[in-house]
Amino acid sequence: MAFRSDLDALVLSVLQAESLHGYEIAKRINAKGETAFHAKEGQLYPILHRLENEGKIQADWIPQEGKPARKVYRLTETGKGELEKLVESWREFSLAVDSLLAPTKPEASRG
Amino acid sequence: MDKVARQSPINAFLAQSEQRLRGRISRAKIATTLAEAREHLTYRAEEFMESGLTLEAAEAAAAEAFGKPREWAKEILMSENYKPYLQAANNISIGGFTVFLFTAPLTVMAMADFGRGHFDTWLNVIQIAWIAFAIAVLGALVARRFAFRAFAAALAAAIVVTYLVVGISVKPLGKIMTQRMQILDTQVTLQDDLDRLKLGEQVYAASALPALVPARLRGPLNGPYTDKATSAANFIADWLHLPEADKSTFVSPTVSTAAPSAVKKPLGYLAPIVRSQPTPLGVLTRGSLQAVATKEIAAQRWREFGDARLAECARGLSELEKRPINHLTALQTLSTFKVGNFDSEIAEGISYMVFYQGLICLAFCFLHAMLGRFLHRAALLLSGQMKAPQSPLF
Repeated sequence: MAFRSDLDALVLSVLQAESLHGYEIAKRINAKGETAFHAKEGQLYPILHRLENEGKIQADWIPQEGKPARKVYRLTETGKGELEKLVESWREFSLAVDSLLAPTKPEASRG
Repeated sequence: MDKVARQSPINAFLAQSEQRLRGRISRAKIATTLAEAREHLTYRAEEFMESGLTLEAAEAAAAEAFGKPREWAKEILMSENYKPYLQAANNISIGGFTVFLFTAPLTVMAMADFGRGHFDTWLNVIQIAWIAFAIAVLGALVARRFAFRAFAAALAAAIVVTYLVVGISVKPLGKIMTQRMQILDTQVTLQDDLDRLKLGEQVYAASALPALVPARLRGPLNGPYTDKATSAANFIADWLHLPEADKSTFVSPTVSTAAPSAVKKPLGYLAPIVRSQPTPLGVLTRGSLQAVATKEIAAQRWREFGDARLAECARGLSELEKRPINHLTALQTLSTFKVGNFDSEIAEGISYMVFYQGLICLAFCFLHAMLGRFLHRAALLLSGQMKAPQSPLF
């Protein structure tokens, strides 16, 4: 189960390198081994629309020959800043979990 | 059902989703959203076909993997409400509706207090506009977030709540508040007259009755409106043996009071009042209360000892001071207005007001919803979403 901020981070990170359309975003996330959208692939689109409304990503309509135009998403400056925050937050969380899960050395006996 | 069954799974998914989105977001937004979904489903179905499924089975698998149309459409609608201006509108709406719920009974009290005063028109306009605004903003909130069906249900609920709150509180609150206001005013008036008497000033107050209106007064009082006040003043002044010079201080029965309707009835009672200074006509009702409450003391003395009215009134008012008007007296007094039925008139007036408020509220809701729709579409246009190409569905 993924939290909303995790899903946001996944989407934003996939868009970090290049502009992509919805299906490609889902494929890239799945290719990374993420199972966030396996159960409901359609869940991706409300997230994309929300991020777009929040100004973190921007959509452009790219015409295609012989096919309907395609909606392609790209990261905005706001989105980049948000991604940095989410990555930083994840690192802190990850470090905290790692430190908790790391095997502890037995304390030297006193006396 | 057959029509849906004949559709391909992808088309069926899109049709069901479109049905749930229709009317809740703009047609352009629906078109682009469904076009996007169609593209995803088509690619996904092709992948399933590459793994050996038939077209029908592949489309069904793609649609199933995408999610249920109802849930997907709901999430799409929710994602549309993350716009900052909608969030702001939601917060304003919640605040407005909360204030409205708390203040609905207060508006009734305000109407009861001022309904018969000089400012009632302006106060009513303010009250109506305010309540209409609160309900309209609530309507806009519901319309934007939950769309038409839920909007209609919430609006109906809001109206029911409004009418329950107002309906339950209107009669007792209106009655109590009006009576208390009348009592307070009467006590102030009497005290003022007593103070003037103690200072030796001429006071014509507390000259009252209810007495059967003499038949000779009925004709002039029922005459043309322009002559009514003068006629009434002259005739009643003569009847009470008022000196000619004092007629200008006489508060005569006019429209919008219980008095004119009283004198028009065969057995109507009239409760005139004479004061030391010209008084707004609206004071007549309070004066009537004062007058009727003092009927055993002052009225008879006025009529029997008109020539020595100052001394007699002073004595009457001194006696009255020992019998302060209380709530029970006021109730008895108001109940003597058999003809006008004072309480019923107030309740009836407020009921009409509530009815008109409801109508105006509905009108405001409609206009506000239309305005919200217009602004929503304008925002979409400005953001360029309306320029997007149409989906194959449209």
